[in-house]
Amino acid sequence: MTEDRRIYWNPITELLPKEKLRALQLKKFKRVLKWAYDKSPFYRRLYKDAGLEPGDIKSFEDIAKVPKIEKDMLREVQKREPFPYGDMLAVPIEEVTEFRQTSGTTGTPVYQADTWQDWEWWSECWSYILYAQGYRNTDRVFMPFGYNIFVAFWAGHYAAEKIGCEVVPGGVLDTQARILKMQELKCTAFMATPTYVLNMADVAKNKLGIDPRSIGIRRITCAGEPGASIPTTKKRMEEAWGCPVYDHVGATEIGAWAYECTSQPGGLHVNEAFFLVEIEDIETGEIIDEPGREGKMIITAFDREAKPCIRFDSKDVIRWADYQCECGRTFRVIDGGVIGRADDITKVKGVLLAPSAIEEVVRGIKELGDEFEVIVTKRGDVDEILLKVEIRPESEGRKDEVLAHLKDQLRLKTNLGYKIEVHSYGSLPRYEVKAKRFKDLRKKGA
Amino acid sequence: MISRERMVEIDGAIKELRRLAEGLKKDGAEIEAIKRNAVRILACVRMLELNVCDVVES
Repeated sequence: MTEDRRIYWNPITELLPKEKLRALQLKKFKRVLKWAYDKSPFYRRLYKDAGLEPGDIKSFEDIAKVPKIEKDMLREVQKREPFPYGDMLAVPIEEVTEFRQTSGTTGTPVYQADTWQDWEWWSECWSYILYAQGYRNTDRVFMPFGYNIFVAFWAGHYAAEKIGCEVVPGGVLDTQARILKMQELKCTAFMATPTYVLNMADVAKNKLGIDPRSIGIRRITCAGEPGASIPTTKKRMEEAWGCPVYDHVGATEIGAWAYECTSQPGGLHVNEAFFLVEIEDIETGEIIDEPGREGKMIITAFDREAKPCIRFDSKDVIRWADYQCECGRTFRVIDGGVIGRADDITKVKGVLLAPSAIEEVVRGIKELGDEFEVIVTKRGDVDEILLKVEIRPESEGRKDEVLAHLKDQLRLKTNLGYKIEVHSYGSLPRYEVKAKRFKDLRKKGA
Repeated sequence: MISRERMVEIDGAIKELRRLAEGLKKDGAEIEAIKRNAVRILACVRMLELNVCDVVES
């Protein structure tokens, strides 16, 4: 274990022995439960209906008695007063200083209220992340995202400032202008979705004639998509920019709850001083403590005051790692980051398919472009999968060979056959934020 | 790892900060410039509490 305390944002929490960490979590769980019960009409109703009072939680095992919440409940509660958040709100509306909303990828957006203290908390969570990824006050950090109603990298901006970095907001600039500004200012780091990290590299090379590696970026932090934890996508990004690319995960209604450190152990540390992560067997509901077994995440944010997040069924599929990270942090590691979403993993032709498995295959074939699209349809009673890919111009002459290899790899990794369509390089949609590459049209009766 | 004694000292300093900031917020309640800046100070104090005091007390 390393003794260099300077690699930790807070060694007091990040090196806490396991048993003390567990005691801290229980104490904080009880505190947020009481806060929600006392202050939020939604939570009070939920717990009263379940016959539960905060004092009933005495041990870690008791936590499983607390009712879970789901995204649909967050949407439903918004129909109540106070507008526009509903009565999950646990502070007077006058104390709310920040509005953000979810992207609406899975339905009606959820509106998120935060007090200034919550906003400080957001940047504190991100400070753990960025410090663990090597950000220091010597960094000049470029933020190539649209500063708007989505949480995205807002807290990354404030955390970088808190750490002492110099922050360059690249909000309304287009991609080419962003790259040129990063080059001009000799920026050393930036934050973006994996899709946009690859897109920026592509634009730099093919539109501006700039080798991204020449810009001098030393670290990149990703969010919004699982790509930075998918080895082939991570490799593409790191090779394109010539620096480490780190993953982190968070959500508007939860917070930034896990991060990769510079040791890059193949997984992400859960910030267990600020969050309780439980993994639940999707079929049985049993809480999984052993490594290697996948389940969906139930998460609690201990310190959020305006809209508490207690035992939220996130639908993220994760598994505990069976290894310790060499960085010395005692925070547990989730192996391979977020593996998928319980509601994304779908049966096609009777076989379970995770979209991330297709991404892993496509991004592992260097002759293919970064973009792809998957469309699942039903013809009669038979499911069909259409995969659209791009072949890099320099590999056009080997098209048949590349496609045969792609089909073999897809069959091997997903046990499914695909209809493959090759599109001209650069013609598939490019995204700046969350990409929508997987479309299951069977649900619409198409 | 930082010693228990040192953590207790820091914990005491944070508690004193909270006391002072709460007082400032109350005493300056009629002056927005004082009250609102005190609210921001208290949000930062809360982060210190999450990082140190919670651990000391658990």
